[in-house]
Amino acid sequence: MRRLDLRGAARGLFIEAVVVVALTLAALGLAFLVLLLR
Amino acid sequence: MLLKPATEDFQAIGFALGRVVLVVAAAGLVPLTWAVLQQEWKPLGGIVLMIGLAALIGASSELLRPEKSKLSWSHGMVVVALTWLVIPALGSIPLWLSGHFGRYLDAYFDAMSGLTTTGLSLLQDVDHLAESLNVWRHTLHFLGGQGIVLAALTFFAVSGVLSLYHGEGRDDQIFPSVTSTARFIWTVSLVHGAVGIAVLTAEGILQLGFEPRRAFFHAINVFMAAFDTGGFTSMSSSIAYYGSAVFEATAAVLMVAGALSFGLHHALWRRTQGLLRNLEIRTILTTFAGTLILTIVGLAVAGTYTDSASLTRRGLFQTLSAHTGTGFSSVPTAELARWSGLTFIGISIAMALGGMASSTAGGVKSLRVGLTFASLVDTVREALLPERSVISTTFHQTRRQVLTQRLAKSVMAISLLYVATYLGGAAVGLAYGYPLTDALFESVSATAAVGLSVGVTQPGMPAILEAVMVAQMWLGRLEFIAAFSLLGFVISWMTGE
Repeated sequence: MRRLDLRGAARGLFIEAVVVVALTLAALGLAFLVLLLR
Repeated sequence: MLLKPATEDFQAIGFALGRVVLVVAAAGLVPLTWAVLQQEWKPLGGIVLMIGLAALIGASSELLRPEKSKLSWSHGMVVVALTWLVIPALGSIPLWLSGHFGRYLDAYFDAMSGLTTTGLSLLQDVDHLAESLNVWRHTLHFLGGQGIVLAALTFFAVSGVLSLYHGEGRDDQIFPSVTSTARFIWTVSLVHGAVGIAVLTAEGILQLGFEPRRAFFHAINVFMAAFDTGGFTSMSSSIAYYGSAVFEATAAVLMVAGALSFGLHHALWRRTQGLLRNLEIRTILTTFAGTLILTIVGLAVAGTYTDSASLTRRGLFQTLSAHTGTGFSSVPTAELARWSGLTFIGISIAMALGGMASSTAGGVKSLRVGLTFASLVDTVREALLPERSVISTTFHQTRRQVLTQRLAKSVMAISLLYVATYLGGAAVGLAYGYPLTDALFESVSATAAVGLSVGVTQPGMPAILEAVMVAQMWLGRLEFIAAFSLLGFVISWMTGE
């Protein structure tokens, strides 16, 4: 690793952000469903 | 017959330990600079004393320089175990002198909690602690999360690096040499640091209305605590202090990044294909989904939150905080203590399982959980199939690998040791009269380096329970092996011939 792989780093950070967004949407769907069925 | 360690053994261990201690002297320059810039003269004295002592120990170790420069495997393990006892002792000096701790053990507890990236704290009145000392607490998170020995081998060229690297609970070697792997780990951390601090500072200024210097102070602390899955905060109300969903989401991205193995970071950076076949990724996704369902359903059934936005925000953040081993809390301790039933089970299991192996997270680790499950399936298949059947199980982790008996045995042994430590700590809590749920929660939180608390960890807690929790944090972070090596070394020294 002599030079910083900027594109790779940006891809990594983007995927991590996408994971959090996906988890939020999944949790929101679950919360909505559970409250509806309660 | 055990062999008594010779003088050369002590020399080799002392020399390497001294080298590692130099890292504290170097890292102490961070709070020192902050104290000078902020003109915090009172904490400056303690910081200078710590740096001076660390530098003196480091320099004195030159006198022990052994003839053979290479450390043996067992010596390396002993060095790691001792390092993680000595560094908190040095790191606790400025904390203890601040007057924010009731007794010295509390300051040592905080330094150990910082270094092991646990996040439990016995600090009194954190809201009025000098900024430089808060920066130091969070720097301990960063040092511990990165692996302090890893730092030493990067900057001070310590020999016998492989055992030191493994002793700190790191298993995957991304590049052929440990030094290149260490450099990659630092690169990943510094990239996340640069982006994370910039984003958090901007949010602090634009959304929270902080002045730039204050926003920067909070941003670097939150970054170090989130990415290194530590959990300290500079305010007593933890992450809830900021009262911002956007700020929490940014912290969540850093927490997720911290719980990923550095091998996976490398794969993401290199656009590696077929990541969803990876056993560890499958395991962590499954266990996270399971614990999230338990938490959210539990909170909904108990009627704790009645709208889906609040339920999602609290339930997801707390599960993420527990599973990644961070320990940030978006709800007050008293409220968390009331989370019972399914929610309690969900959060406790998430804490106990932890993040990925070779990440900054603690706990049993997803790879071990996945392999334990695969071994159990193997055992059932063995029982069901005819006697002469040959069963060979493979799993995908970077490449296709065979689950050998030896690997399964070692994975099971470490997993069992975690469970035993969870239960052992809970037994001590029970002996002091705490309810079973509280004692178990706090014990798991300490061993798995999480830092969530239901109120057992507080100033004035029984000293023995506090000492047990210090030992749990130490054992959990080192994943037992280095600690056993130290124990073996001491026994050979005392009884060997």
